Amino acid sequence: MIGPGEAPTQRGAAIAGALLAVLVALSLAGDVYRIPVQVSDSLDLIERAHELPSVGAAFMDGLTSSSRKFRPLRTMQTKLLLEMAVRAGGRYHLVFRGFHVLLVVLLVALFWHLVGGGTWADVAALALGFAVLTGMHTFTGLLREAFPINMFLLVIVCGLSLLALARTRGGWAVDTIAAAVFAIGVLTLESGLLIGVVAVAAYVGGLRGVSRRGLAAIMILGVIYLVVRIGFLDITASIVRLEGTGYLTRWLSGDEQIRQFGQPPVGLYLYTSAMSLLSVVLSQPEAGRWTVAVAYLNGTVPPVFWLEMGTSLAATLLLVWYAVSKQDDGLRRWRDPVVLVFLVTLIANAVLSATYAKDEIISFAGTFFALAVATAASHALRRACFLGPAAAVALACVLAVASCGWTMRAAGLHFKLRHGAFDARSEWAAVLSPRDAGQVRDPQRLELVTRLREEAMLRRTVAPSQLPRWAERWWGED
Amino acid sequence: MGGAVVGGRLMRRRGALVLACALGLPPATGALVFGLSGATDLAMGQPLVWAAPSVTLAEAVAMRDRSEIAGQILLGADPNIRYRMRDYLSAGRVVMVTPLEAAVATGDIGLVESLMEQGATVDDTTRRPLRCFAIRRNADAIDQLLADGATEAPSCDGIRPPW
Repeated sequence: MIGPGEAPTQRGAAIAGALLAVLVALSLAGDVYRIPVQVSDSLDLIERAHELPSVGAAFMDGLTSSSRKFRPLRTMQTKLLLEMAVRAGGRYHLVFRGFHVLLVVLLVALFWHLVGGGTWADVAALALGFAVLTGMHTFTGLLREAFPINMFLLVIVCGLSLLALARTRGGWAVDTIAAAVFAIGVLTLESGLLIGVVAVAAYVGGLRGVSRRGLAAIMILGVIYLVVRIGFLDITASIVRLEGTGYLTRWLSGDEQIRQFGQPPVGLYLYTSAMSLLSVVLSQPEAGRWTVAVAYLNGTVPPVFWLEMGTSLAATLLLVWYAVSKQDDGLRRWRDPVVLVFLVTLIANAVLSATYAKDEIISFAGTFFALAVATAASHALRRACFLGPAAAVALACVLAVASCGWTMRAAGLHFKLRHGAFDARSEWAAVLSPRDAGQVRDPQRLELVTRLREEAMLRRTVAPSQLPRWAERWWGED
Repeated sequence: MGGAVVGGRLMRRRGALVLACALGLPPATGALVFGLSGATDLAMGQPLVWAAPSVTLAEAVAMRDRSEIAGQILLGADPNIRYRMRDYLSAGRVVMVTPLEAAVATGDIGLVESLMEQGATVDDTTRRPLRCFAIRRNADAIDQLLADGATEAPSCDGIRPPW
């Protein structure tokens, strides 16, 4: 990342950076648009929102419909998109996946803006940054799931927007937008609280675009959120994840969690938080479970583990080197706003994952990890200019290997999203079949579901059996 | 002296370019390939990389691709006629089979039921060969489903599966 006046902007490099961002956005948009609107965790909400009379009613419904989740904007956005789809002539896929694509484009644009692309070193770092962003194991779930709005992606876009706002010159408008961005994020998903963490960390890191006044507004909104959620509506998170969670090499059911760790299972919370943190920088464990150890105990460790852990370790070492190196004024670079924001969000995100380890939840920190790695890579390239020929060649080899590894991982995202599209389409095969006849729907709902099913069925996807067989060994199963 | 400084700068610039290429070229190449693939997907409905190949209804059945089966029937494919099938049941050979025959060959009773729910019919002409294929596949549950109440095993003399 370049500060003003640090290096002159090169026109060719700026164009290359923009072109790179466009290519990455296109690659992701194509994959996302191919995935049909999902049935699981999605169709129920679409049907419910369809019955609500207005967008306002959808917001109120979202306030009170669950004793565990407080996501009023999720229902409201669903209703809003449904109404837009109806106005577009029943083109639900276009509107729902179009919104998803819009979020992807915003994510890529913000990432590009934050890394910058003024010099060729920046463009190279940006390319690596995109590979780390899209190749991270946390990104697949983040991009794939939409219930029916991709809440996690929306929150990450809000988080990156806030960092971008913090880098502006500030003012009333910026503070107001920052508070609005926080409110949108937090009312969409609980992880939205991390947007406030980004604001505070950016301020501590020296970015003054969001002023103290803006921070105060965000904090007041945060307090109101907690008071309304816990004090008035009595909405609290589950003590344990009933579906189970990973612990060392095992998978613990809800009952086992309480039996082994008591109630509340504080020891398990600590373990899950620590492992969520580790998973961002090491790609292991997965949801608390050391799958690499499981594979080793089973006798074979597929290349996917070496690829993921090796590339993550290389990126983390680069980041550590950057964080402990000194600036011209003698201060260490961990105070760099991007690095500081990553470190703070990593810890906060890990704490938020205490009761529920899941890639999508920790993907917020994963995104800032990619941003910090790109920043470190850009700096490393500038420093490396001063190396001797032998050292430069050796470094070039190391960089090429690490970069190829991340490129391989990024390619795996497209493979996994093909699987995702196939799975989402397959879910529709059973909907409205004679076996589904027990599900009573009124004519309007039936028309809606029929149309959604038609759209999914007519969008052809490649079957996993038609994909290369070696791919799962290198990119893993879903 | 000035020449040495300029030479040093040139060396540094060249070194920087090599390092930038080492770091940036692999992911940029990946972005180019998948970016073009994504653009093709958005514009023409199928990506360049890992596009869905055209398959017949029988092939979709052999792959147990329930969504493709439902999609093709929705588009008007007849579940009661023979379709070309490449490789799926016998490597390197093209055979003509009905979707129900392909389903019996997979041994997946759910697939057979699903096809029957979507319009595939079993009549007096097709019942015996289908049951024979199921028996040959050791798929007793499918045989019972196709028997439609008949208790006797069919005579399978002269009946050969097309694959």
